[in-house]
Amino acid sequence: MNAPLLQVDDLRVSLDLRAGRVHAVEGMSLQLRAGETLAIVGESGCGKTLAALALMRLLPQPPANITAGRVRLDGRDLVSLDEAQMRRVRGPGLAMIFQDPIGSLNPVHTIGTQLVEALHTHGPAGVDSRQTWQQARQLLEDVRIPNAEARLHDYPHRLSGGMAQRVMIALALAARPRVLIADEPTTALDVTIQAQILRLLKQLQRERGMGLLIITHDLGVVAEVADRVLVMYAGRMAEQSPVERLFDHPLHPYTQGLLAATPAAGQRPGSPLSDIPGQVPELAALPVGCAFAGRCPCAFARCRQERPQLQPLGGGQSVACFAAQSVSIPGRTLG
Amino acid sequence: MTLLQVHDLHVDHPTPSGVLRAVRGVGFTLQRGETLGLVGESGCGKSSLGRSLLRLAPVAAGRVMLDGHELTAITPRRLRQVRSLVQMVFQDNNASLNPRHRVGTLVAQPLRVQGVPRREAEARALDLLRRVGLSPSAAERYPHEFSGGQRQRIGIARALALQPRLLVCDEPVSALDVSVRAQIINLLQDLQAELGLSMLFISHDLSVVRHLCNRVLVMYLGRIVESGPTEFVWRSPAHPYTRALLAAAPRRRRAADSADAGADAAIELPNPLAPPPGCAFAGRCPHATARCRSEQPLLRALANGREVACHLDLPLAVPAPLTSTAFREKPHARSSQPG
Repeated sequence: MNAPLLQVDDLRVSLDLRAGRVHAVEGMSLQLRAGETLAIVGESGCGKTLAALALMRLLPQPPANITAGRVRLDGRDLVSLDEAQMRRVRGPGLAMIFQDPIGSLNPVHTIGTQLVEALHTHGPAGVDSRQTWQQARQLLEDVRIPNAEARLHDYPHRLSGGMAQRVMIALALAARPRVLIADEPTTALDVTIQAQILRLLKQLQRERGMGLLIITHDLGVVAEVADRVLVMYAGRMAEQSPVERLFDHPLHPYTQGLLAATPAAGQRPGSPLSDIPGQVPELAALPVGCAFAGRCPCAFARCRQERPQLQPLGGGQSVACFAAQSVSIPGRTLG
Repeated sequence: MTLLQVHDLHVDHPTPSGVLRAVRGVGFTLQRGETLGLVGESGCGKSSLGRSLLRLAPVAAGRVMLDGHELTAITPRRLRQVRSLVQMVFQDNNASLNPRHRVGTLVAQPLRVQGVPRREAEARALDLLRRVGLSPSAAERYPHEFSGGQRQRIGIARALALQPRLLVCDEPVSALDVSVRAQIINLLQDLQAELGLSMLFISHDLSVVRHLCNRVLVMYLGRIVESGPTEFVWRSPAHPYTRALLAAAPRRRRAADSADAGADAAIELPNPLAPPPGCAFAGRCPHATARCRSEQPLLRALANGREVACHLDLPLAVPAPLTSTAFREKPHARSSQPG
């Protein structure tokens, strides 16, 4: 009964740049069930946002192209849909919120007007405008905005970042989406506001049974909300794991490096942080083997010649790393 | 020895809808070699405070004494000389590095402004680049050819050019990815130890502040609401705002688990153009009384060199969740006694 709501198989996105074609997302696969939260985590340029835009079919084309893969929502393949069909999927199927909420709202219309427009687009025909207005107010109340009626008449510039993100969430909810994709939803917000927004997202998810796909660079956000985590590096999947195991028992040296590079409670203040030497390689100049090999403390000859594939290692974790795979017998249940 | 003394500093920004009083009577001292953290949320005035130390923000009242010079009462000509004592590292190095100059020119520029001959300035620039971990060949390239972390190294090299005593770092690692952020934090620590620099480290990232800073100032709506040694403040925050800040730091599964209880209504910073009377935090404070809403609390001293601006005498023993990385739930490497 609990078939995945969203299933992505081997999604590939390329970008045609002046310097040539680069593979920004190289083989991403994921499953998301109703009521589940999956976090895609990675640093800038790892392809996480492009992957999300590909799911929504909102990639800027050109330069971006989906070159392979399937995206199935409730069993229906989205990649083969035409734009008119896709428009009917966006909203009730997949909805998305972005990092910059104020920039995502239309500055010349009031919040009420924008909510009403969203409700008209996705709601049944022939609903009178007073009713729609009531629904718009209800949406603002759903996202816990005080004085909802007064806020409907406000323009976006009057909102703080946290309020604007709540309005964006209300807009996304107008169509009652099955899956909500949140791309860095709290990155621009202060920490107390971030905590409020994350709690709100989790509660709305619970009320509505939505699948939630959170894209973030922040392991703190991951720890707070995710059930499962997908770690990306240079357009490739490095590791996929239940959230608890990712923090207790990270398998990929990149994940281990990320966790170690964050100042931790147990660490003596002022002691040197362990950093990951070097930088993320350019997508146009990815090495032949593992993209992380150049920065990896565990890399050996094979890592530089051959690209590791994601392999399950038990405990719900899978990893694309020869070193991690060679110490664990595939299929063994860990812990 | 005291390097910087700030006394009752006010910074006002004129806006179309009135004067925004970004900093409202802030005082603190900074010792030589010390790293002082300044934390608070956007709009609390922490950047205005940092910039005012270089007279880059309009000081309306108060005094800034740096190494015996009164920065707030100095002629523009003298100011240029004294500014070499205090330099700034910015968050957005896309905006702070002129894209049309080569990196060598950018790093040599402060020296040129101070009258160092071109050839000598450029030679010193190469040294500085090496010191921050870049190859001298970087001098011939333009800022856009570098990654964010490397550009931040360039910004740091430029800030060090005049051998300042004080470095004001305004969110220097906030725009960087985690793996690179650790490199820059380590670089700042190394440089500080080598050069005996004092640092004012402005950040909203509590885990970084805790890692780097000996002492911390917590700011809310233009005022300091709490200050003290970082460890004490972290382990037993005295001000309800500091508690809220520390409690909001991400923790494992908290949002997931507390979603059952329901999400709270949006409560945010009051309008800085029309601050409420009394304590600015009263509207968000779970402990606020009638007095808090009418009377502005002043900073008062607590034990262990701490200060708090709160009418209430909240017990300090409340254990705080530790850092924004408390999600790692590591055992504490050492224990310290809360004050």
